Amino acid sequence: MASSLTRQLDWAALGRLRLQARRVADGAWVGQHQSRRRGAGLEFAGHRSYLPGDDLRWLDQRALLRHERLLIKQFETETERTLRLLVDATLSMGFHSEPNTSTKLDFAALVAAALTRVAVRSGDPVGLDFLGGAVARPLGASGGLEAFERILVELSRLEPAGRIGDSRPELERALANVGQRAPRGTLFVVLSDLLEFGPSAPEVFAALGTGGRQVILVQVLDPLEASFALEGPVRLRSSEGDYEVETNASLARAKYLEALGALQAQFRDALHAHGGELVICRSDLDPVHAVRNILRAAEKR
Amino acid sequence: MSFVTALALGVAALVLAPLIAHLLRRGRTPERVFPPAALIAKLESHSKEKARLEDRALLALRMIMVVVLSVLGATPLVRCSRLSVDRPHGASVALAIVLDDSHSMRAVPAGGQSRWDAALDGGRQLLRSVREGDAVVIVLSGKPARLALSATTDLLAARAALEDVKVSDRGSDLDGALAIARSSLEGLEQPDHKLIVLGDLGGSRLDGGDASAPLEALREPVDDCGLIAARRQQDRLAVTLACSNTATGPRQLRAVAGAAPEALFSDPAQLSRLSLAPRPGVQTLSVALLAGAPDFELELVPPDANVHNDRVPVSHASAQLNVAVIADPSHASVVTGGPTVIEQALGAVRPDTLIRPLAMLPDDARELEEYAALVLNDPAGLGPESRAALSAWIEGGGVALGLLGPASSGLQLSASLEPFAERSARWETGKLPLDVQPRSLSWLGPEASTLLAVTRSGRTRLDGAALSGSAVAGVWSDGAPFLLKRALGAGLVFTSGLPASVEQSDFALRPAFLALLDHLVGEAEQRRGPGVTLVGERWAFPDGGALSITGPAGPLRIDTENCDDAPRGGPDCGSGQASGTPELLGRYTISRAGATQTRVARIDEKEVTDPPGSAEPLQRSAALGEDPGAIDASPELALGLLGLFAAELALRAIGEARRKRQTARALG
Repeated sequence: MASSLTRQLDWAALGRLRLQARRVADGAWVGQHQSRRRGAGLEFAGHRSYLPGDDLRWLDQRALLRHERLLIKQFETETERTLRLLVDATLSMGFHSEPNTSTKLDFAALVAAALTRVAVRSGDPVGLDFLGGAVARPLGASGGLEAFERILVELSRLEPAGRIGDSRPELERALANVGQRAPRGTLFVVLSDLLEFGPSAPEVFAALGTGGRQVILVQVLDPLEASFALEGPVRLRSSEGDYEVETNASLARAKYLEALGALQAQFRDALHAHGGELVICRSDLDPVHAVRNILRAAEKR
Repeated sequence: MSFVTALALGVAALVLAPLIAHLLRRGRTPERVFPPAALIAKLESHSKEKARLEDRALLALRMIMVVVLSVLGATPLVRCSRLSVDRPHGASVALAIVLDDSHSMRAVPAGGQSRWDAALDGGRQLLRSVREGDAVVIVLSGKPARLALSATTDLLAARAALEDVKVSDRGSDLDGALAIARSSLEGLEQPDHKLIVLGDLGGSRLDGGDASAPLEALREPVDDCGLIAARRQQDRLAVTLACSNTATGPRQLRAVAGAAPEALFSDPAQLSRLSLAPRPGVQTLSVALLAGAPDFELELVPPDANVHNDRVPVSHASAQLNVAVIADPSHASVVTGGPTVIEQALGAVRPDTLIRPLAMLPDDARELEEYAALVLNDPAGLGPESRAALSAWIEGGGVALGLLGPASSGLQLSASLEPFAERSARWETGKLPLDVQPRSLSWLGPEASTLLAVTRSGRTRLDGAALSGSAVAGVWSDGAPFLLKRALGAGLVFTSGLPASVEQSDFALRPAFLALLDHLVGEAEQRRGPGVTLVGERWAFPDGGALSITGPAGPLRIDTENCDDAPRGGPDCGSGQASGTPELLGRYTISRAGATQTRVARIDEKEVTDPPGSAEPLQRSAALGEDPGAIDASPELALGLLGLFAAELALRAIGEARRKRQTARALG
């Protein structure tokens, strides 16, 4: 997979991209990205009135003598913004339809690698987690080209396997470690088809965005899943075999697309409530567009 | 069935081909992994139902088309169960249809269609198969058998005559019907003669080689019990119940169409307590009635295969026939203290009659009203009051028999023998036995020859003593009248030259005497009897004014002798005997000469008890030949096939249009 990633990824196109955080309240960026967070830092950024509980170390004594007011000195600080990639490697991500040759997991890994590259170039640490998957080893957040290489190795040997289940406890259990390890300001990018997690999935994924963290859900769909371009009678089976259904695709298409749109709306609504975003991309389209869309979504907040 | 027919019909086995193809097609439905299958599953109940409905309609159409195609290939070789006339020589046929219109044909077997309807359908099918040049005869086998349509080649008239025939409650007279049918076929020019019986054969077996009874369904046994009669006997009610040997389940009686049971029966709860076991044959029940109980109806429940015999009227008209006997027991008895020989003879001939011995002839006609017949033995003259009462009673419809003997010769001045004979009738003694000419009494039947050497001590000479209007009904061997018959008003008077006393003659011991009494009672029944007669028995009325009969189905047709269908009393119809024949069981009201009389027509119990008859296998199909129902239905089948193709095309077009609409809606 490493060779295919190298071949398919247009590094030149992605190299210009940089993660730019615009979080007003909690976001903090290190290196080229100035933090909007005021408080303890390196450069003076002004005064504000004292409020009970403020650290007295930052009380401006001179201003007190001059203006007879209690003022607190504020400084701008530069902070790291950890990128935490969460790749869904369950069985459903191994699906691809003809004539598309790449599975959804291939596409998700490609996008994850590109995001890693962008983050590493920006000096941001990157961590990697998985949902399901064979020989998938989570990686803690780290920076530098070495981190990029490690992540690339993990992604390259990733195989779709396992399932999460469609109940809320199962999904919460799968995400428990991911949420606990992430510090404030972490940007979660979840790459998944979001199709087999059950009705509580929007709430559970959106909950990752609490505690000063941000979540961007990237729904990766195969073109067949996006359009349901089948005709006539067809027997459909879910990846894990939970569902098997025979239908007339021509007759069911409109209802299917309507149901898919409703599912996406549920995720979007839940994420917006927690400051998150939903990005939808198709595995047969240019992954550069997908990465740009993800970065734009991150810039919104 | 030929090989070609079998082969064509074998194509019908391909009816499973569309089904198999459908199943195979279902089996070949492309299966694929589709992660969002759960989303489809939630929608599936709707979309799947639509597809299934469409597929089923198409599948059914194709299966029907295969069957139609198969029959189309077999026609006209396929045989249907319709009746048709065989033409082994291809020539015209003389067809006699014996249609059973008896009561048992009203039964409805388990199939749901009554025997009569099935027989009528069979007759229609037969008439559809006759051609120009064929002759048709229709004979009804309800008792008495009669000709409904004499031989005719007018097929339209034959079909119209068949439609006019109605089922009745008559008994069955299959032998008579077969005899009529055979005689009707005789002499017809058609080379082939067919005699087909459409009926249940009424317990008989059809053995004649020339007749066939093709409809086996008519001879299926049925569960039937019927009320035959309910006769009032003073304070008792005798109910006659008949059941077939295949009747099952107990029955109960209940009073309907009359007063409440409390006003009818001494023990109102008796009927509800009675549970009648369906014993094959006839059984009689006796129920105590209240004095003066009005007319009502009895009903048998629960309903069975023939509901038409589950009701019977209980009428005062259904009381027993009363016959008055006036005879001196000391002379007219063979046993001292016992009933007279006349009473014994009446009891033997008509056990159902009520015999009332009278000491003397009443002087008031009203006292005679309750009697239908009167036998007067050796009267010693009749006084003026008695004569007037007797004449008035006879003119009202009474029937009297006067047996004149030695006592009738010694008349007092004020007495006479009217209305039997003139005073000149005299007893003539003689020791030589005399014969009555059997030929002169042939109307009595074979018993007429039993009056040889009948005299012992003498006879009454009736020559010159006959009253006006009298006719000689029997003569002695020497030519003198032995029996006179005289119509008086609506009644009838018989005068015999021998008394019943065994001292003068053993006439009363001869079978001819019994036959004479039987005839007497029969005449009385016709005129004013209790009116419980069998359906189909002709009711004859001597000329006596306007006559109308109203029965369960409305006014009854009245026939008049020498007038046929001309209106009675009209210019073309002179005086003569009027008659009507009840076709249905039930109560009839007879209005005649200002008087009203009620009669009851009942069914023959054999219509219930006799099981259906049987026919030899040969007789079941003799008239139908080897190829009874070859029907060429090619045009209709081909048209149907085209229609089915059109329906499939339309169904497909509609389905395709719907799919296109949905696809466009989904994508755009």
